[in-house]
Amino acid sequence: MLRMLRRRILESVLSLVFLLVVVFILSRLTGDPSSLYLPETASDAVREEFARAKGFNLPIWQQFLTYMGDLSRFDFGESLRQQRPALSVVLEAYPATLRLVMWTIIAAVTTGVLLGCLASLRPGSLIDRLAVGLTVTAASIPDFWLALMGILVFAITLGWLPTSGMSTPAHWILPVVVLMLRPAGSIAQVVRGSMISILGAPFIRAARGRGLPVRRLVFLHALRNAAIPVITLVGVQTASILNGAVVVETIFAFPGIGRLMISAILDRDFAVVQAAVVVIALAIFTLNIIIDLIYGWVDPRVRT
Amino acid sequence: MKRASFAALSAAFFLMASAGTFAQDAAITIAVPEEPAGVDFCNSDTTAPSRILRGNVGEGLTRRNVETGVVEPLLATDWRQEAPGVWDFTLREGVTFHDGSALNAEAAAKSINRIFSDKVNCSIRAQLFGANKAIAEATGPQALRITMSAPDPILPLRLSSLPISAPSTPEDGVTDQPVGTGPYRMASWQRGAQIVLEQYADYWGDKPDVAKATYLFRPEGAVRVGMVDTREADVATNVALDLLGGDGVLAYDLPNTIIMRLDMQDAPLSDIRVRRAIGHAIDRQGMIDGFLNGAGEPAAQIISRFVDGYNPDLKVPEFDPALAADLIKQATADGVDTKAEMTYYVLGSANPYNPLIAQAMAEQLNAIGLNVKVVSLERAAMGDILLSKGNNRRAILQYGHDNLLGDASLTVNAIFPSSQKRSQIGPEFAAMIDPAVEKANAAVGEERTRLYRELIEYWTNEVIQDVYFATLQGAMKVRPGISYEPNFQTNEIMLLSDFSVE
Repeated sequence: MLRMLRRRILESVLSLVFLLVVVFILSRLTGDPSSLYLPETASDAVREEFARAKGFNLPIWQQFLTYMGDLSRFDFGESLRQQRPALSVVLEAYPATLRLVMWTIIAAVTTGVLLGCLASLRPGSLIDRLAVGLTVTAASIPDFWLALMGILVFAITLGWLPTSGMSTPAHWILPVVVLMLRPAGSIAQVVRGSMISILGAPFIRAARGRGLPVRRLVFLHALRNAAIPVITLVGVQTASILNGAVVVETIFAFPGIGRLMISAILDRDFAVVQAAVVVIALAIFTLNIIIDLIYGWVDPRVRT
Repeated sequence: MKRASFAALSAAFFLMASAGTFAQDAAITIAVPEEPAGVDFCNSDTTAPSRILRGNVGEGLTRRNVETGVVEPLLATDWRQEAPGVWDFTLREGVTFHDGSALNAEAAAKSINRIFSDKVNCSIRAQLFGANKAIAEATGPQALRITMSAPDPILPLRLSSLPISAPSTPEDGVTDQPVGTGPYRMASWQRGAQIVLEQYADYWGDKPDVAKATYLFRPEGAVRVGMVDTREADVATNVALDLLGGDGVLAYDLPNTIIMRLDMQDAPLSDIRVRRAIGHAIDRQGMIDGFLNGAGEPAAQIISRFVDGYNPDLKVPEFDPALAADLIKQATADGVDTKAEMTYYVLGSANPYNPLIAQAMAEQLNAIGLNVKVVSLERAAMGDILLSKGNNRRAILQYGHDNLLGDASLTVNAIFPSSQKRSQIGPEFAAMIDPAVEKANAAVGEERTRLYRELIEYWTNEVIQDVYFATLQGAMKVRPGISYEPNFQTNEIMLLSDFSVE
């Protein structure tokens, strides 16, 4: 197990270094940011002075060496837009996204597992069809449309929920529901498929024959065996929600990292883009390692 | 008699109650699309910080009257030019900053010199002064002298855009706690969520109705509108033009012109008949009605009527596709390659109507015999093309141009001179344009206005580097009970003292 963990960490570090090089080069290829940070009426002399002061006039390899040198001292540089350390800007935005992702995953897993289990007990029943319908519908509806419709119906027409913001628990309901529908549908489908095959396995049939209650059978014995593909899916979905929360963050005005990263890319705020990539990559690598550990706990074969 | 008196009193009370009284010490919530990147006055030249800070938290030495365009006293009570580039200002007595310190010449000098310091990265410096530099010094307790490195005949106007900050403002970097002299002090800034302004009790001027304003950052326009409907906000700025005519939706003219820049170095745009044909090929009013809900008017020149130097005699080219097609035929007959493919660049993400207008423009240009394809760009890539010479590019760029200073020099100096990257003119026009720009820049008063008008007329009718589409309107929504009259500066300067709350 330890050997696997060491290998995973080493792979993550190598991937991170590769990612840094790629992001650095690609972001610099987008062009000189001076056109975005100086008024359109600024003279050419002022633009050249700006590029010199920020080091954008240097060859790209020289800029990269400077960046790596700074990074070795945990200096991610300064945000061009906010004129303060890029890492502070990113770390300020990160908790909002993490909380959003955490609540979304909790809601999606709970809904998906419950729905999947219920559907698997009676394949072809109304609840089974509902679960399939939810999956297909959730996968087909774009997040931005769902978010705007949610606001129109529940905030403006019915007045039950606030339109946007994040200051009270009520503010979190619409964004979490919008974000969780798609993963919940996928999880429900995987749980359903996995459970149907497990519920037909000889050890379950034997347990049923010994008179074990259905609830205990499903949630204690079958679900643990059906969990492995679900854990894989939750890992993939978490990374996808982490990366894709930008639409929901924009519509509901969540000051999260997705929104920050998009605006930093459009603003050519290189230091913030690089710091955000590092922080997101670290989170995804950590998540993958945690998933590997959970695998080991659920499936003893993995430990060896 | 008693009964009559009682009835009269009741009627008076009822009338008072029903007439609508305006609340003193009211609090309002304003939903805005964008959070400021910073709130230091020296970076308040862009819309997001300017709308919150200018005139509310920070005040300049002067202010520009939105009705007349005249520069009026604010923190300075009078001024005069002692010599070319040397200006003396007398500061208002009895004004204090929000930290209690007094406004005097030392404080004002420190604030002005700070924006030229290498230790503080101030964007307002380039915006307002370009390459010109100022040195401010106190010549008496309330007497301030500003010496420019090159003469600046409109310095008092420029200073209307520069809020004066307190001496306690850091000199080695930007601050996120701006301290000014305005009617409101910045109470808090919760990054990503809101900025709160509260009335400053010792403000030197009249006390406004609004005691507290909360600015909420909501990027999505439909959400801002919804917030007014649900009373989560009292005001929503920058709402969609489709809503014009709806309850509580206020329209206002913007100092913004939509321009099609013609990169005229290569054929077919190097031929003036082709450039002139483009002006006649587009149905401006039709597109304004079709795409902008009628919220704009056809433009005849690069600046709007709110800018000194605007030439009222210039006429919008008539929509005449037959004439346009004939001009193209003449050019083709003379060997101009009018079928060479041209790229029409447009900023795709700025608003929903930009790509629609671009597509309609391209179709109209193709209809007169040109060969145009539309390419939609994001902001940074558009900036790269806008700020470069168009050799071998065969490009038309659709972009919006603002002049908030109110003086044509801002537009002319950035776009007209052949040395500027945005200028696409060759030596044949540079010989006339470059010295004319210098001459207009140095002039004052009516002579200045006349010279800029002549220059703009020549640029519009003879050079034709640009074809103008329209000047636009903006829209905002207020809830019932809020009184506010927007003006052309509303997007950048939204004075809380102009709001009344019922």
